Amino acid sequence: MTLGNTRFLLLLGLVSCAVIFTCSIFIGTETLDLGQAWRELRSLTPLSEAPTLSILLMQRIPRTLAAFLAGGGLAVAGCAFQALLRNPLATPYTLGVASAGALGAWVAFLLADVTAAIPLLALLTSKQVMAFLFAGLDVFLVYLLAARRIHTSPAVLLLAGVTLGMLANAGIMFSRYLARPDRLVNMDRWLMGGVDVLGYQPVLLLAVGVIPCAAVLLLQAARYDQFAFGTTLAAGRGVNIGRLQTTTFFVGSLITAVIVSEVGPIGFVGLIIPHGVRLLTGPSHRLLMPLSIVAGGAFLCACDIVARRILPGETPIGIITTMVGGPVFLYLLVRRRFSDWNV
Amino acid sequence: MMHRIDAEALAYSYTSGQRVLDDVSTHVATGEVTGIIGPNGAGKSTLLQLLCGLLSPESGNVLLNKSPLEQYTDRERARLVAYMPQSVSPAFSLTVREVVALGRFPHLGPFGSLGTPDHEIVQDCLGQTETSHLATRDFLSLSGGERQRVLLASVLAQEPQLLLLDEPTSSLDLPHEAAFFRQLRTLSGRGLGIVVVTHDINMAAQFCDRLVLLGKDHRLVNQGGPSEVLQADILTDAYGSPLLVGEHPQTGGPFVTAPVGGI
Repeated sequence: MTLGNTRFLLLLGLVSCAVIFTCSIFIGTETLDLGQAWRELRSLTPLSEAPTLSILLMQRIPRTLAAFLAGGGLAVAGCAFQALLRNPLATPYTLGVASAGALGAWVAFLLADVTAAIPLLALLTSKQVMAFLFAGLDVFLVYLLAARRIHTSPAVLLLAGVTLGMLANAGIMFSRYLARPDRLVNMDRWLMGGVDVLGYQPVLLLAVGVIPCAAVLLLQAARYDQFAFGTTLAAGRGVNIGRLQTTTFFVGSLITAVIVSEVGPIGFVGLIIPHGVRLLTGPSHRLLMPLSIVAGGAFLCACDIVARRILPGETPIGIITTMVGGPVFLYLLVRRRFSDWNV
Repeated sequence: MMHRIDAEALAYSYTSGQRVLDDVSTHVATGEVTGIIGPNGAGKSTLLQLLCGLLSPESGNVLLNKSPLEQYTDRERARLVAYMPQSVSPAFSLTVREVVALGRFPHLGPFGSLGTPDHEIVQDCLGQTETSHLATRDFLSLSGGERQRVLLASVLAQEPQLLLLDEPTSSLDLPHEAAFFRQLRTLSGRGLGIVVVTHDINMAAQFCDRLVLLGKDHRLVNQGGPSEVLQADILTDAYGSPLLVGEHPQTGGPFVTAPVGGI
């Protein structure tokens, strides 16, 4: 990869991202009249009496930011898991992390009535904390399986992840069974994934969780490159294997848990984005990971545009990403070689 | 400056409790080629990994330039001591140049960016191992001999003082094996310290300055110059099976083979 090529790709990525970002702000169930928004801003009308400006500031912009943060976070977590497990199919979703996180958030829903009275307990059983605990437990179990044998086949890891995901889903089913019927509609909608946030609190929570975690993972890029040739060679080069594994599993679970607890389990972003970006950049994580963040963010914004505008009503975004990602996953699975992966 | 690793009474067991190395004391230093030989399961690879800190001894000490190895950070250690594993299976395809550039890791900053001097070192290492013409080839498309040379280039790019190799020639035919050992001799002539684990006693006899012989009981049987260590009674003791020692047809040095039908 020449430097010129690299710069061109970076530029292309950033431009297409900016285009999608802009589209995401202006395309929606109702097309936004920018002139109208500007007039409302100029006249200093209170937000409650300025419908266009209110849609722009309180719906479109937070929604776009949320989609970008969630997509970028899931994509970079996918890169990290794939590098560490040396497996192109390892993602927050296929490893069961997303489902486990969803179960955690779900449990938090159920506990909310019981724990609301006690502030400290309410904090400990908040959506975010519970999602992280469950996601972390899932990653730990998968890791135990991976560490037990040096050459764990992709099939074993995936089956483990899928099985844990199924267990988590069974837990979700059970809690749905226990839940009050009047709550089920809201809970079900959350489970399908959606970035239709209102206001900035969810965006802020996402930003606080995703940005530092993504930064930590990006700083490991050169170490992930060393993993290409296995742990012994990497260790001989001065990579602290234990620390890298712990950091990646912890931070990867955290980033997934934060995203899942805010926007629900959104599948396959961590699979198709790193795969697609890798086709352009080659396997170097120092290029792959930052571009995956941008591409993942743009991809989820694009899916959200489809959800709002092209499909009827407000289709849950998780359905769209899975409909796009599922076939890609199958395509990867049936091919013997994963393009540039030697599996 | 001379660099050395001293091992004092090393012992190591697997987590299952099975002893793989027992009370081994030895040393390796820059400017010489040390061969670690012995029967299957004697603990040769374990000793090598203990010497570069990839494993921690159950008891005993490893000193790098008189300081305990664990006092070095991973990167500091990797700038002095490089380790080349027996076989590698890259997770995805990389060009030969990219593979060699990976060796610069312990010298790079947090973002891992290679500067002009780094690229020059990579080029130099490709030249030293006669792999420059392969630079843009996919590593996975190389032959076994080419792969080992590229891997050697990548550990040389680490610019170590001591280079530890685990059975680097086990998949090579005899001419390629001899060529690889000649390369190691050349490197040691430039002041690099070489430690090589090998099954091939005759290659070790021909190309090593010092031999460390481990026995079936995971203990050190003998160490010293090839003609000192490679004696029929010592080898028979170490391998637990009779071995014959003759003369190399060209150099007259020790030449080891197995008897016909046992004795």
